[in-house]
Amino acid sequence: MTRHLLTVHDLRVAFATEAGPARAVDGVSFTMNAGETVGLVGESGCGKSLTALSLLRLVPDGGRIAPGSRITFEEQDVLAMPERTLRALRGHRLSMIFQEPMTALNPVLTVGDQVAEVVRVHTTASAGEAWTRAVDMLAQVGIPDPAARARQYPHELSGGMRQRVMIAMALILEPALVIADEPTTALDVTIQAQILELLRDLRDRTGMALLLITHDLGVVAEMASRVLVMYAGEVVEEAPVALLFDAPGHPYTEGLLAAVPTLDSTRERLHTIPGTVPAATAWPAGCRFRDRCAHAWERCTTEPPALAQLGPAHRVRCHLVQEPERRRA
Amino acid sequence: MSASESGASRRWRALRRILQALFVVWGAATAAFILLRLAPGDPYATQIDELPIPAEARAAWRAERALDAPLATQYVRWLGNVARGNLGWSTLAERPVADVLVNVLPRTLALMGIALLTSLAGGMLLGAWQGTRAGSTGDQAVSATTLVLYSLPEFWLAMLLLQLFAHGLDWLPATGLVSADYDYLPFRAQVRDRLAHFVLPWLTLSLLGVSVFARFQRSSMLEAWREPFVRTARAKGLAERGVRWHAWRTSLVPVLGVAGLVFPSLVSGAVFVERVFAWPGMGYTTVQAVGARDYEFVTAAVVTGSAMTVIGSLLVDGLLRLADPRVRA
Amino acid sequence: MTSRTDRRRLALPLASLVLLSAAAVGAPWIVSVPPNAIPTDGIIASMPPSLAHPFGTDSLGRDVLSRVLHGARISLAIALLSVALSTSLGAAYGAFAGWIGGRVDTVCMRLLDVALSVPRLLVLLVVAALWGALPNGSLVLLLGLTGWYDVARLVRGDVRALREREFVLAARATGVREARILLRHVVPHVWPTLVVTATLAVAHTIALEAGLSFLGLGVQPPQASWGTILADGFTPGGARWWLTVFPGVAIVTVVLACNALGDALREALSPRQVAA
Repeated sequence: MTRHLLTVHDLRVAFATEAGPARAVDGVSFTMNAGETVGLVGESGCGKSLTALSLLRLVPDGGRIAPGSRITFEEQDVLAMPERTLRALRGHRLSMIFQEPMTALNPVLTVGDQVAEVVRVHTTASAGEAWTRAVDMLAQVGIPDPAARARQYPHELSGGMRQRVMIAMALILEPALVIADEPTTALDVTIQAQILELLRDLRDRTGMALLLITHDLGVVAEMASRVLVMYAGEVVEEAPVALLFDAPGHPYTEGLLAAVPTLDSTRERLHTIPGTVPAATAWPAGCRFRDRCAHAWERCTTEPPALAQLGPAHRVRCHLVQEPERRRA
Repeated sequence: MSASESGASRRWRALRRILQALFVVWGAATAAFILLRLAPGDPYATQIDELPIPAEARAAWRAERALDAPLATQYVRWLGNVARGNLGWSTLAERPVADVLVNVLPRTLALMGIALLTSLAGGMLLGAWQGTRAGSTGDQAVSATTLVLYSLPEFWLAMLLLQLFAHGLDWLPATGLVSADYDYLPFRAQVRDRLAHFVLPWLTLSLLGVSVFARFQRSSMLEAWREPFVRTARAKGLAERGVRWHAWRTSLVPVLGVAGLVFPSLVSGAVFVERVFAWPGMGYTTVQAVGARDYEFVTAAVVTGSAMTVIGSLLVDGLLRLADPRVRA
Repeated sequence: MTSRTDRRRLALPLASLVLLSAAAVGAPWIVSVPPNAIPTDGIIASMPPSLAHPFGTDSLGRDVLSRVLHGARISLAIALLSVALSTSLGAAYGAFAGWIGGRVDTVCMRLLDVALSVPRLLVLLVVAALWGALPNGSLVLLLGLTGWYDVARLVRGDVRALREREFVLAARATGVREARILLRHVVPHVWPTLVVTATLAVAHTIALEAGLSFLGLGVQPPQASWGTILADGFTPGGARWWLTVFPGVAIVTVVLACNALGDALREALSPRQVAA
């Protein structure tokens, strides 16, 4: 068995709320290999962003990663490492691209400074060297006239350009793993394609692993080799991308697929799945998807399904795996 | 979007701002004139009409000051004089008002300027410290303290400090600009004497100023602290210091905005503080002038005070431009 | 929606204000000595607190407790009345400028810029210099007429923002009369601003009136106001502490309570309350 780049084991993140603890991420396990692109999909509120933030220990205030959770990255225990080691990791070996490039960039610093800062924090490069590398990186992410652009502020750039800056910032030190949290959601459809193209190029050039978080299965189809589907804080299906599209095992995945938009159509998402994700403070007993599921029967209300092996690389959290005859036409 | 074009628009904006400032000072001068003429009789009624001199002498005296001319003529004359720096005759000092101002104004400007700088520095540090640990015991203690300080009238705080440090502990001189034996002191002792007399007025204004800015800085920092770019800074691997710097740098913008609004209260603070410590600056002299019915000095004080406010907010505007690239255009 | 912490933050300042107001109203029944009574048999000099005079006496031998309580009536009345005046003036001016908009608004705002840049205290000093001692009624008028600029600016901002909101546009489109829109839609949205600024303005005005009286330009002796008691106690040789502390604490209590109340109200009435 090869050593994995990243191993997440039984990750649980809870928030204290007035209505009691919200178990927003509830026992997520998965692995990633070096150079691999994995898609993490699900509706908003399913815990996918929080899972990603946990990998960097960036859980927002009020949230806590439960003891017993384990994250191993490059054979280091992320959750146990001291703050210093963690900081050396962030932005260097493991970095993140955020969704909203306007607010995720500091509005009062030049974009060049913000990119160069990564170099200055993690290397012994001088300010001048860091700046040169930043300008160089801006050129690599396809920003025209990078020397001039580097001196501009986020508000002077378009949304697409800002996201390129975000990408430059995340990739400048060639990390082993990049987490991209909905990197194209805030952008126009035409720009989305360009950004995805850029990410794919850079991935192929650097050999980085990419954890791509999205609610958009179209994006996943284009980019990922493997997919994790999350629902209500849990992974409900894990499959190679072709298999997932051809033969989804979980009714939720089926619903998602029925709503897949193509890049040139207007985006209507998930309109085929009735209802909404339940509140994290009160997950239903049994299967968390049962209220929205067309196939649910008594077993689903009492017994929570386990993640069951459906094929060699295909795992599904659904009782239909054991009782396929319950599937309704 | 050429550089010269934006340079021209920048100059135009600066010009407009200065014209606006001039308009405001003109408005203040007009208001002062109106107030002066609104008074019962004319401003010299008590001075002249009670003197046992012939009516012709009175009339001549008034004619000399054009008090018998139509109001419009008087107004134009007044504006012309103000514009030339001829602010009238101080009956209290028996000197031209401008001469008195040359003496006392620099003192008050120094007091206000230094107090403003300490207030900004202290308030920003304190508020920033609080903003990153909102709700903690330390934050609550500081918040309570600044709220109480903020609620102390200037003159009462001045009286308490006077009682404590001058009368009680006898650490500092109680009143005046310098000691009675100032002229006989060696140079170094003269400097120390001046500084000793400066401490209490400065301390009073600064304590109040710190409380004002700390309150604003706290809420501004609190807001910045929740911004996504703070998370980005962490994800880049910055140490907490660096992360705080990111938030602080952004939180300065609204705080500087507030700094532009404090000049009027700084002026009135100086009036009270100088009065309590008998520290002969602009404020102290104005209070004396009010008591002596020295109209021309008091109206000149209004115009000067307004000009100080306007120039102050112009300066703050400049600082704001430095701090916030978004308003630079 | 006021949560429990909100209510707690409102309760303490409100309670202290109610208590102090009650003491002010009930002053003649709480203390038997009139505020201006100069002892006919006792000592005509300032004495430290004693059983007979818990707050001591001032330089004319008058009872400081009685003067502080009676002073509260004058100080509070002046502050409340002048804030009522300035708030209504400011609200009217701001609503007018914001609702009309266009050039009228620009002119109104430029005028306001002028007014805001003249330090208020200096205006008060000029008036004091020109007219000399003012009766309390004129003082209320003067404080009211010089205190409305901030309110005007805030209300104008609120009204301008509201004008563009859908429900106002919809009301206009369906032909609802302007006056009715103002009353039904704008006033309910503006009143939190008014309540908060008025509360903070009371704090400010109490301190300002005390300051003016301290300078000898506000409430005139022998009337007791907190400022005049402080002025009496302030002599170059050092203050007699009971003349500084008691009226000063009274001022600070009201100012602090109003500031705390204003802060709490602002948070409680803020429309963008974050759910925890």
